[in-house]
Amino acid sequence: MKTGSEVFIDTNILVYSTLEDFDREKYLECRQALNQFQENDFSLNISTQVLREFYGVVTGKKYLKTPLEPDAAKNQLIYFMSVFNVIEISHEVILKLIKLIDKYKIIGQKIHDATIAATMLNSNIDTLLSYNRRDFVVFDEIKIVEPTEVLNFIHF
Amino acid sequence: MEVYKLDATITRDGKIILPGTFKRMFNHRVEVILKRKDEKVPKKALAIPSFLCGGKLADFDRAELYEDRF
Repeated sequence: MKTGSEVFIDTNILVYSTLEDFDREKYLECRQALNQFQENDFSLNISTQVLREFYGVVTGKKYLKTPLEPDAAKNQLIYFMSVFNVIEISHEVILKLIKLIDKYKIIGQKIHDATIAATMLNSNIDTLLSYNRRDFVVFDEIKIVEPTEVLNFIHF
Repeated sequence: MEVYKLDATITRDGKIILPGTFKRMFNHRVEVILKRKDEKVPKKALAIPSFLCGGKLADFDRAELYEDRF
């Protein structure tokens, strides 16, 4: 059983765990998954990129019928900053990103997924909690865990 | 909030001596959780505030979030 390890939380997990009626099933799955990691003493990490993306999704009109008011979204950012370890996109992260660009021939908008990967690897985190398996499977160094797989991941 | 895990010493007069590398963090407020090294303190469950958004209009992906910038 794995306990006391590190996990990185992707933006989609924060969005689903915040919005009760965006996707009810994923809302429940994400909240349960986060607490399963929490109860097993995992360190929960996000990054400044994830916080920005979260705000962009929940206050935008493209994805939600009724976007969150800026104050509500802002308070949610503050809450996340209080319960998760926030990693900054530092000079070192960008140097790691440049290595990943070379290794995986990253082009175009894939740079944003690669930045998540670089942020994780620069902090020695190899586990990503996300529904976005397709975009991260390319990175050999990263294990993707979907919310429904967390218990299995912790125990085996 | 940054979280640091470190070994420190409590003196007889109740002061906590931090390793020298933490001197640069003077004036920072800290929360101290005392426990035996082999003792597990269960973490509190997360209580993430939740909101209603009226339903989903579209799935999102990361690349789309940045497309409008250019």
